[in-house]
Amino acid sequence: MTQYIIRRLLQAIPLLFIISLILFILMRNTGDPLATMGGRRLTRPEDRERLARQFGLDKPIYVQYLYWLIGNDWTKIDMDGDGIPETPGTRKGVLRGEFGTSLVIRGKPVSTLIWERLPNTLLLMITTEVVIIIFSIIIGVYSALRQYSVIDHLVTTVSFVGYSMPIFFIALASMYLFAVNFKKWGLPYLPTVGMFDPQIGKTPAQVALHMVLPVFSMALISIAGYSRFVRATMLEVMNEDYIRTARAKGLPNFTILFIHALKNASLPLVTIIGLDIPMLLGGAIVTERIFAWPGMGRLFLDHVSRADTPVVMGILMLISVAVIVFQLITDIVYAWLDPRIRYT
Amino acid sequence: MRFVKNENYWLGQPKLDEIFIRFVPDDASQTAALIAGDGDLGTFPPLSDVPALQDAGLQIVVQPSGYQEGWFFNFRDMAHPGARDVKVRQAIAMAIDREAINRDLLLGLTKAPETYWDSLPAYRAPDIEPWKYNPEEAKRLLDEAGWIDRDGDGIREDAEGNKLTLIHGTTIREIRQDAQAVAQQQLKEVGIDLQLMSQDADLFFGSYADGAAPALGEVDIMEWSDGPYFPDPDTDYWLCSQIPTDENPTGYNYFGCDEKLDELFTRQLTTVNVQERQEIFHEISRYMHEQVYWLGMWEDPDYWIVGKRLTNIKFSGVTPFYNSIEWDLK
Repeated sequence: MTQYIIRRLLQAIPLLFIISLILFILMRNTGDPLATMGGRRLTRPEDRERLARQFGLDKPIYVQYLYWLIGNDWTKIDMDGDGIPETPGTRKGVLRGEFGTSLVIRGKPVSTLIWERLPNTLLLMITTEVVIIIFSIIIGVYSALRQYSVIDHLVTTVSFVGYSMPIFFIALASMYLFAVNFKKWGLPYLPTVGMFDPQIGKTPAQVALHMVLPVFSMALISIAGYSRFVRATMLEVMNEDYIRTARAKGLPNFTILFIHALKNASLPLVTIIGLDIPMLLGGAIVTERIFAWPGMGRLFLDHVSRADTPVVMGILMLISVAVIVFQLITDIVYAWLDPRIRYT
Repeated sequence: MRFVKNENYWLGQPKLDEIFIRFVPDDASQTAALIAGDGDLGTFPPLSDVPALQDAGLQIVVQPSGYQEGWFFNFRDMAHPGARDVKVRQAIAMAIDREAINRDLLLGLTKAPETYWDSLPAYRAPDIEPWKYNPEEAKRLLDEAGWIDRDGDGIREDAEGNKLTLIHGTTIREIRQDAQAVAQQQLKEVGIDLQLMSQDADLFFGSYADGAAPALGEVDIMEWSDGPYFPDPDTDYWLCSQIPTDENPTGYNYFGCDEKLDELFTRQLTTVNVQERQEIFHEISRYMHEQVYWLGMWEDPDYWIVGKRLTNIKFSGVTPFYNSIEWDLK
């Protein structure tokens, strides 16, 4: 197993290199970061030339990638535009742990921007994932055990309705219902946007209250899908011979369900969750935008729309590393769940 | 973003203890938050939400900003012959009901500017006659210019059979796309086919070196909000030296080189007598209006939504929160 893990980690190095190269080329060809720096006006030619030199955007793309990767503190750059490089570079590059500085929020390190937002995103996304897993297992197992019952049909119908609704619709509809209209009708209501009420401050209770609607909106869709998945795998497992044997041995129903059946039925679910977790780091672009949640999704959207390559690359590389690591963890959990699986 | 009051401010203590600015990127969410009372001040609402905000007792304040939304015509060599033909441009100015666009799409909160200098009236020629909506006159001008619908498909052609199909490009801002659709319909009625293009701002406003369509001259009519170097009337957009080329990739005259205009713009730069400079700008505005190098669509003011609790609030187009020291809550 150790050998397997080391081999997978070594394989990840060229993979990350290729991913970074592709993403960098794509990013540098999807917009001009200087285009929107003139405010409402077009960016003035002299400003454009000066900014291009300052940000290193006047260099060929392979040089820009090289600077991003290994920094430019080994060379000099031409800041005054006289054609003679005179200013020593200061960037250390990704390989030395520096993701550079944002082009849009000038001078602010990418790592600072990400670390300001990551906790907010993780708080929102982990809570949502936990709610999704708990509710989808409860609903999925119940539906499997009561197959074709009224409750099963009801859950199936609600699942399809939930799954077919776009997130922005659920988010806006829930905001108008539980925040705007409930307040108008004199009922207890929820806040609309943000992480806390500035008059009260960022208390745990405030943050929890402001999380209700975004978590509800995101969880509703995923619970609908995941619960169908749990139901299907549970139905399959419940018809296996070893479940019949367990019943014949007189094991308690709880043990049969949650120790024997659910453990085996959860293998495919582990794959989906393993793929989900790295994506949690990227945040929820639509939900964070609608609920003005200051997370990674909004950071990504705000900066990708202005072609801020360093910030976008920082976020994408973080997600890429997380995908590789969590895929490895998923494989290890597989072996624990199913002893037949062996890695050599 | 939190601003706390400066107790040592030289004009006295602000009435509010702090101003908390929350960035709400989604328009519909901002509307919901303001209606629910989760904010006291908002900005740039989607115009379609204005009635709902007013119904909820919120006040909409329109503050002139010096910017104006307009169509910039491309009359460079690579532009469509129609865009380069002054009679076609004049016909377009008469074929679009700009008053209706301001009344219906912008809820009557704005009006159509006639020149690029309307926000600085001292520099606009006083004798300019606005282009009135007159589709019949537009059709007559197009006929006179030799653009006639020869094959009966509703779109005019020149003698060589080139269709009068112009490309109109702008950004993805909602009101721009709505206005594009209205203009397309109105121009079709006089036999002009308007092909619509809308791009993200970082693509649309990209440079010649980045291959942005307006910079390369691939768009016949470009639309965005702009203005002179307010409060100075100067602009260097139409200088011939600003035409983007391989040698001058950052140039931002995406429109064309008119020697008379170039001479006027160059002369005003070195004219120190205020009255003389004013007269040059009158000539520039008159000439550009007659040539329809720029066609104003609507004033582009700042919009503010003021909640019921907030009092003593005033705005300025230059420094919006200039009297925040006097803001108060009921």
